[in-house]
Amino acid sequence: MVDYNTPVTDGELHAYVDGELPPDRSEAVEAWLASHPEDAGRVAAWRVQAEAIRARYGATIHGPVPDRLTLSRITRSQHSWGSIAAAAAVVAFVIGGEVAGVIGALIALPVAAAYPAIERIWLRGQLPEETVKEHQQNS
Amino acid sequence: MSTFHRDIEVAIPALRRYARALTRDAETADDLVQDTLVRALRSEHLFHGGDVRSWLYTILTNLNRNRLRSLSRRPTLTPIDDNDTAGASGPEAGGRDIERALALLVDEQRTALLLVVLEGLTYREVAEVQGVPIGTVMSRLARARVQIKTYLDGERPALRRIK
Repeated sequence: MVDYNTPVTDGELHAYVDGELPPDRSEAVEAWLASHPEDAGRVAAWRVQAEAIRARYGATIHGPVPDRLTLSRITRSQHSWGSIAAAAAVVAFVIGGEVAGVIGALIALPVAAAYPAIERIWLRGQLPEETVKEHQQNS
Repeated sequence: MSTFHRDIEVAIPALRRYARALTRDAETADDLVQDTLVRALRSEHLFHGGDVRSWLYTILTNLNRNRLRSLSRRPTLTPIDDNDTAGASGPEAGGRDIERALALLVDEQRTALLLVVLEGLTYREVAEVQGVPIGTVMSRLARARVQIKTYLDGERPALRRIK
C-alpha cells in the first residue's frame, strides 16, 4: 500500500533521482512531485546536471588506455625498480665492507706496529727485572 | 593473471573517467590513475576481499585529496580556458558550464556527486570510499546540487547576451 501521508523529504527526492529510493516510496514521491511543482523543478534540474556531467566526461571511458596505464607496464616498471634497488643494496654492502676493512686496517696497523714497544714498557712495570731481560733476549 | 589483477585492469577506463572529472585535466588525471595503480599493486597484501573497484576509487580519492592539499599550500593558478568564447553558445557550452560549476565545489562535495552521478556508486559505497556515514554523503550531494544549480541559473542570462 502506498503511503501518501508521510511527507516526502529532501533526502528522498535525491534518492529518487539517484535510484536509491525504496520501491515502496517511489509512487508516493511521484504523487508528491505532481502536486509540488517547485520540488519537481529541482528534481528536473538535478537530472539535467547529471546528464551534463555524463555528457562531458562519459566519453573518457571509451578512449584508448595510454600505454603507461596498462598493468603489464606498471608491474614491469615495479619489477625493474625492485631489481635496481636489490643491485644497489649489494653494491652498498660491498662498498660498505671495503670501507670498513680499510678503516679497520688503518686502526689495527699502527697498534700492531707499536705493540713491541707497548709490551716492553708494560712488562717492565709488571714483572721482575730478570724475567724482562730474559724475555727480551729470547725475542 | 590473478582475479585481483583482472579486476583492476577492468576498472582502469572508469578510473580515468572519474579522475578526468575530478581534476578536469587529462594529463593530471592519468598521473593520478597511474599513482593509484602503482599504490594498489604495491599494497595487494592489504586487500582482504571485497570490491576491488570501490577500493581503487578510495585510493584515487585519497591521492587526489593529498594532491589538492599540497596545491593549496603553494597556490598556483590553474587555467580554465576562458578565452574560448567561440564555443560559448555552441553545443560545447553546456559542458564547459558544468566543468566550471564542478570546479567551484568543495572537494568532498564534488567527489560525492561524481561517484554517484558519473560512476554509479551507491550511497553506501560512497560512504565507504569517503569514510563517512551515509547521512554525510547525502548532505554533500544536496549541497553540491544546490551550488551547481545556483551557478548554472546565474550563467544562463549571460550566455543569452553573448548570442
